[in-house]
Formats: sequence, C-alpha cells, structure tokens
Amino acid sequence: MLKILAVCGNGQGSSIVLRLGLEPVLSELGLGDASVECTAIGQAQGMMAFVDLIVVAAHLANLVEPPKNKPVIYVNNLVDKKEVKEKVVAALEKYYPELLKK
Amino acid sequence: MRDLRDMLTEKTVKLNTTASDWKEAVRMGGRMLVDVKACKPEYVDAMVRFAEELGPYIVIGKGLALPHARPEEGVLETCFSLVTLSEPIEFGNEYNDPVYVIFCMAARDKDEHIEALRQIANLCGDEFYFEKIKSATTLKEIQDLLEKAGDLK
Repeated sequence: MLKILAVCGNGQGSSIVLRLGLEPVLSELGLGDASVECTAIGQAQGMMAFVDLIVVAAHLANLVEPPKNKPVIYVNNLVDKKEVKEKVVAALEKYYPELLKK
Repeated sequence: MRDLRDMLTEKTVKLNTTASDWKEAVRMGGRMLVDVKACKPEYVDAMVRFAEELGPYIVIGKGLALPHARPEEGVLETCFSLVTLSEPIEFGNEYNDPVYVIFCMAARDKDEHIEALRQIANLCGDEFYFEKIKSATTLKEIQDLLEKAGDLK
C-alpha cells in the first residue's frame, strides 16, 4: 500500500486540500487503498523517511529537506486537479512503475 | 462536518471590495470571524503572522488565498469567511498571484472544516465557477454557486 505524506504549514489547510485533490486521482489510478497523511511542516521532517511519496505546496519547498532518492512532488496550484494528477502520475511512473501496471 | 453554505452569511461575506494590501484583506476576513464569535481577535494576528513566517503559501490556487492559523491560537468555532476583491492584490506568490478571492478559515479541530475545504477546492478548482465567484456581487449568487458545486468532482 502506497503511503503518501502531504505537507503544509500547520497540517490543517493546504495539506488537506492536497489530500482532497489526491484521493480521486489515486482512485482513478486504481490506488484507492493508498493512504494520504496530512502534517505540519514542523513534524514532516521526522516522517518523510517512512513514506513512499511526499507532496508539498511549492511555496514551502525551501523549508523541507526530503531524504535523498525519496520522490517529492511540489504543487503550485493546490486546487488544480490536472496539475496534481500530472505530477502524481509522473512520480509514480518514475519511482513505482509496477503500481501502475494492471 | 459543517457545510460551507451554513457558514457563509451576510455577516461573513464581503464581495467586490477593495483592500490596500494583503494584510488588510486578511484582517478584513478575520474581523468578520471575530464578529460572529468564531475566533478571538488574536487569531487574526496569528493568521497574518503565519503568512509572514511561512511566506505566501496561503495562496493555494490561482487568485485564491486561504489564510488560517492553528486551532489553539484562538478558534472558538469552526467557520469560514469570504472576501472578494474588485482590484486584485499581490501576496508575493509568483505562481498564483494576484489574489481575488480570500477564504479565511477558523478550524476548531481536525475534521469539522474538511467538507467546507472540499467545497472550496471543487468550486475554485473549476475555472468557470471561479470566474463566477470573482464577479459575484450578492450572497445569493455565492450560495447558488455552492449549491451547484456539490455536483462537481
């Protein structure tokens, strides 16, 4: 099961918007069982090593230091389902192509 | 979970207005939340401080800002307010500026506000509906748009 971490300033706003955008995309890709956890930037650092994919609002990019080789998506427009989908699909194709095979 | 339609009233919506800068716009939305006793005045300061500290990441979509702070910074009740600007304002977010639509959020816990966020994301993520929100001049128009947004996916 794919574990995704959505990161925002306090884990209450933008990261939840990200999660709401991710869920339909994941279902569409046949990954409806993936988990999306929302967290504040302060807590994110310790959690990033334990997830498969990290999704961050682009504006916070310089405040997070993801582990090397961990896929990270930076989203500019959090309510743009097209942008979210394109970036998720690109990351999955690169890092977890086996998940997209059906 | 609370429906956005119940939270947006004459007291929490200000349409087609102007503000001199982003802080004034955020405070305008915040003050309405204070007036309906959804938060303490210090929560409004926290929303501004938060955006200053973390940068203009509260601009979550093109032309759309979602100012908020932590529940423990003075939220009394989950509520949202809406400010729309006839003259857009730069928040300093190079990708999503300028901002026309500001939803200030006071969330009491981790769940109560999620349905409202879904409504905002669905409506504002749709270019057609977002344009309608930007140009709306009455609360009724906003309520009608929210009604339709229920069917958006």
